[in-house]
Amino acid sequence: MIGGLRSVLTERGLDPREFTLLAFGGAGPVHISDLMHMANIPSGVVPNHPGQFSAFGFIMTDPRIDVERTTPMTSKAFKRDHANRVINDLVGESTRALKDQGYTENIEIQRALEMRYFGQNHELEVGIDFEEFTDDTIASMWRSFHAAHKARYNFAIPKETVELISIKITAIAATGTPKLPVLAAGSGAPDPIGTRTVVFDDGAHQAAVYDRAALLGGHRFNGPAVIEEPALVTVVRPGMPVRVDEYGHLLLGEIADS
Amino acid sequence: MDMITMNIIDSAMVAICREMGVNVQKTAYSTIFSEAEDFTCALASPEGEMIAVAEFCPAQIGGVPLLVRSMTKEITDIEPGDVIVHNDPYRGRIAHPRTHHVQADIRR
Repeated sequence: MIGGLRSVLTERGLDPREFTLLAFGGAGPVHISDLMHMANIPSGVVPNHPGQFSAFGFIMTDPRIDVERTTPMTSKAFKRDHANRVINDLVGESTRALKDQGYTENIEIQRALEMRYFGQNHELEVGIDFEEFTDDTIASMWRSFHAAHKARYNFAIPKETVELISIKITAIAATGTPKLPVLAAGSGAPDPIGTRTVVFDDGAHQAAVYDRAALLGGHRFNGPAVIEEPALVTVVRPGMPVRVDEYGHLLLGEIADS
Repeated sequence: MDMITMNIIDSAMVAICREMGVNVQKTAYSTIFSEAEDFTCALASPEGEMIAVAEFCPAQIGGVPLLVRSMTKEITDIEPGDVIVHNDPYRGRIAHPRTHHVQADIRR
C-alpha cells in the first residue's frame, strides 16, 4: 500500500505533505493512520459508510448513458450527411436507453469527437457545443482540435489533415442528489464503550473503543483509539487527533485541528 | 534539505522525462515511437551530467553524457529555445546514423 501511494505521489514529483488520504472500503480505515504516518500524508478522512462507499457514490451520481460509434473520415473528405446521421442515431439511442430505465425528464446531451492528425496513433477527445454538422460548425471543430492539441502537447500543425475517428454522445438525466443528514452537535470527547489492548509499532497500548453510531458532530479525541461500526473498524495511532464533522465523517491528523 | 524533499525533487526530474516521452508517444506518426518505444528522454546539466532519464528504451541512455558534452563544446552560441538535431555516432549518438538526437536548451 505504501508502494501504491508512492507511485501516485512521490514518483510523479507530488509532495505527499500537501495531500489528504481518503480511506474507504471495508479494509481502508483499518490502515489509514499507519499509512498517513508512513507516507508522510498529514491529514486523513474516513467518510460515512466506508464499506458501501461505491454504492453511495451511485446514489449521488446522475444516471448517464455513453454511446460511441467509430466514424472515420478526414478533413479533406468529410461526409457531412453521414456524420449528421450518426450523431442523430446516437442521441436517439442514448436517450431511449435512459427512458427505458425510467429517466424521462431533464435529459442533457453532451457531444464529443475523438480526433487526431492524419497518421497519428492516438486520439484527443474534443467536446463540441453544436448539434449539427454545418459548414461553420465543421470548420470550428477542426479549429477546436488544433487548439486542444496545442493545449495538451504545446504544438499544433495548422495545415495538417485532421482525422475524425469517432463520435461520442453522453445522455445525462439530472435527477438531483439526496441531502445528507446533519448530526446533532456534541463537544469534547465522546464516551468510549470500552478499552482494548492494541499493539502498535512502538508496543501495546490501551486503546479507547468508540461506537461510530454514537459519535456526534464536533466530538474530538486522540488515538490510540478503535472506532467500531457494523462493517469495519477504524484504527487510530497513539497521539493522532480525530474530529467528527457535522455529517459524521472522521477527520484525522492535521485536518482535525483546522 | 530533508529526505522527503530530496526524494520529491529527484522523482520530479524523472517525471519530467516521462512526460516528454509520453508526449512523443501520443503525438508520433510512426509506430516505432508510439508502440515500440524506441527512444529515450533525459535531462542533463550544461556540463553534460545526466540529471534524470525515463525508461522507454534503456539501451539509448548510455550516450547521453557524451552527446551533451559534444554539443556544449562544439556549439558555443546556443541560446534558450534553440534546438540541435544530430545523428553522428562518433559524438555519442549510439547505434546508427538513422537514430537522431534532439537537444533543446531550456535555461531561462
